[in-house]
Amino acid sequence: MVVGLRVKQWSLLLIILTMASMMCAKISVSAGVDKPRVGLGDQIRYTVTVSSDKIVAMREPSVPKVTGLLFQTVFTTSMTSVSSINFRTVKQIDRSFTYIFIATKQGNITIPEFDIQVEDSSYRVDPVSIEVVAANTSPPQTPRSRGNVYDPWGYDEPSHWDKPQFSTGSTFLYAIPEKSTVYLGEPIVVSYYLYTNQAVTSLNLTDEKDYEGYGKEIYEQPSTLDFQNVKYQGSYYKRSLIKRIALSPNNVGKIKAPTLSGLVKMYDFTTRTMDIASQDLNFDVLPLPRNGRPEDFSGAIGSFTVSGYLDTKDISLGDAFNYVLQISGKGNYNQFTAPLFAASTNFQISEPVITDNLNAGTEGKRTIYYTIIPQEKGSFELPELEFNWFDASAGVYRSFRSKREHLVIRPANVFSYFTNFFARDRQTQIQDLIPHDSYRTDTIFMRQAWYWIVVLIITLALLYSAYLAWGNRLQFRDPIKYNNLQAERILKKYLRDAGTAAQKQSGEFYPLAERGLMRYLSQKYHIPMHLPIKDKLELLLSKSVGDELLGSLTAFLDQCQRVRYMPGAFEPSSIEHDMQNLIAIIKGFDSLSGSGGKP
Amino acid sequence: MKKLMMLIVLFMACNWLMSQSIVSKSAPVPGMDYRNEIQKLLQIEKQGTQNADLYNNIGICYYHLNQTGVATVYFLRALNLKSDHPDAKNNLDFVMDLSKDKALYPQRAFLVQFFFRWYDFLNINRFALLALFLLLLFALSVHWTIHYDREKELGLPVLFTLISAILLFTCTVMLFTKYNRMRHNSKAVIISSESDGYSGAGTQYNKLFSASEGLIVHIQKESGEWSLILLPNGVSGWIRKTELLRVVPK
Repeated sequence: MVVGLRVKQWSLLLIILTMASMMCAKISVSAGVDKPRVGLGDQIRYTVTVSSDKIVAMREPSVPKVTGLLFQTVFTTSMTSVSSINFRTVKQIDRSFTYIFIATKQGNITIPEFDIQVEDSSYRVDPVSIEVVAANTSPPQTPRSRGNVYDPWGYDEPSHWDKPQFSTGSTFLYAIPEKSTVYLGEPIVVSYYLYTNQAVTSLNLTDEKDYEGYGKEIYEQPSTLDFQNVKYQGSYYKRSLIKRIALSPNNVGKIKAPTLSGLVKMYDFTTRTMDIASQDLNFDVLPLPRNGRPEDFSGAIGSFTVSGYLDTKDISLGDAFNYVLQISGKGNYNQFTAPLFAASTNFQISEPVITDNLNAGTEGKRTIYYTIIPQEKGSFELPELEFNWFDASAGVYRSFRSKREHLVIRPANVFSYFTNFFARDRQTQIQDLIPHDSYRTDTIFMRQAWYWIVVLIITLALLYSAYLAWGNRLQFRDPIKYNNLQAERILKKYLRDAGTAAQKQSGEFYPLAERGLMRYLSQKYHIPMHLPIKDKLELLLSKSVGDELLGSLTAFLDQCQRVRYMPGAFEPSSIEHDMQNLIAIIKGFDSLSGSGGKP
Repeated sequence: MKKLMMLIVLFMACNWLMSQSIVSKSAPVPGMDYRNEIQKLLQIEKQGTQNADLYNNIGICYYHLNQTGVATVYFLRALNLKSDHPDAKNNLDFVMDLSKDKALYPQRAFLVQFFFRWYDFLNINRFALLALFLLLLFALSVHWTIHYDREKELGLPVLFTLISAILLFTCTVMLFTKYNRMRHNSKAVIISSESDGYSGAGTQYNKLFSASEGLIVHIQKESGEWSLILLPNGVSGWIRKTELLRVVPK
């Protein structure tokens, strides 16, 4: 008895604990911007999202004050998603506050961290950094043109328009349907406008209440208030599009459009806020007529233009070609699939591949590709493709039939025989584990140093080869210039060594200077190196080198010979003077043009 | 006739080359404890080891544990690392054949299949070595051209240089494309038994399609808990991130 009582108590406690844990909402808060780098004057959308598994009480976070960002407006969206994971239903409610800013200052800007109060707890929103760069050079964006947007109740500004008085007036959300009666499945666009004759500064949408009987998609949602002047029930208002929603009714009868509600901030001597909600909007959903409904009706409803074509008519056996079906216009694209070709033994027709270019799944173009492979050669008719839809504007069923195409399939080319060649490699069972004692990370050569070293070596070798080729070409085209260059290179080398020796006041200066000078002259004037100095000087004389220069050269070479071979002739103090002589001689020879002759 | 003979010889050579990668192996080892084995292999993977054989073996274990979606991901990971891995290729073909959605994969023409076989055969390392060889060939051709006897006609060395330059450029582009794809592979696999795709990032949007476990898709965009995926037949839609596994984890 006592044991039974305890079991009951424990069970009760467990149930209470389980319920408590279920009641406790799992909340997460995140924040981010739509783009981390913007141009000066560009718009930034900063969104704070609160996710939870149940509805939580919270207040709209105050606008973060950031130097360099000018606050424009804020709007709120909420989204509920329900999914089933491992037979457990998981619900997630996301509530997002999107703040629109304009970047007014260049540089790195940080939206600072701040606390947000959800239920009884405080959550920290992390800071977000933005880089504001110089303004884009592209022309500034013009305000959204109303002319291109569907606007059933558009109204031009009257010539006698007076500026509205902001001190008294009204502000309301007004839902306008595209039409009041639709067919089952036919998409209908509902536009929500903010009408006001007051100084409204921002609108924050706080809720979007859905009702049964439709699926919906966002058709258009501007991010800023963009007012135009209209007349409504005899009074002048400014109005701004808030949202356009495409609804796809899935029940017959009266359907109620979603109700939008929000908080308007307006300036009326002081800043004040006001709750507003769109009016109840009902529209009638009619069933699709039974009369004239094709047996294989696709479920497509709308105003469509349908066309089809073959991408080629030059076909060989085994070649693949495409039949392309294009459906464009307005309709319930999300509720019908591609039609199928009638069965044929002459052609193998693949599953259709669909490419959509649609807005909100209701307006645009759908292209469907059918890949067709002929099965035998000869002349055959392509099977028919039929697409039926209900034209909601006319209230009748319409049909598209592909043209009767007679195709001549030519004998196959050599490659066509092999289309299924590789299919024979397919395995009929999974492989066994590959035995391994240990696993090492696979080496990727491109990430190895040796690979890039080899690339570098080859590149350097190529550059060196190009350099040599340049030298050869120069020797071939302009031998004098080439000789001079070579001579200068030799001279530079020896002069550098001789200069170092001179700085150290070393006797090595003289042999280095003599050798360098002689090699230089030998390269420049084509004088054989093995000749004695006397013969070399005579040859230089025959090359019309000036007497004065030759005299200086002879004196310098004598000095070199003396220092080298006469004991005690070396005087460190005279090196500097001899170095100057050497430089003067080289300058003298340098000033002579070509491989001889006076300057 | 000569051309046809050459074509046949080339074709046989290719066929031989391809058949080198098809190794028939025995049936699974009876009594093998795949649950234990996978724990060991995943531990090695966690240590940062990137090895194609390891990924292939993990895939095989997952397959035997009836998780074909995850198995497919691991075969793809093995092929991402080593595109010519014979076992991973065969295993992937095998699990793709089992997929309920196999009809969605497009059928490729022979020449396209042939090109992809070659492209797979040239894994990233073979491509790298080929690029190195072509760089050397190009360097030698340039060397030959610029040091060629000026008295002779330059036509032949210039032709060689041009051909080797085109080959080098093509090979380098393909090498970097392959390397980039290896690092940023956008492929993912459906891992839940049945996943629904919607026209927007949320269940309130219209349902566009259902995809089964093991289907290979491409991730185009991500938003919160949702990913915009592209099916092999070209249809795209939003699917929950939790129902997908990326080949290259972010």
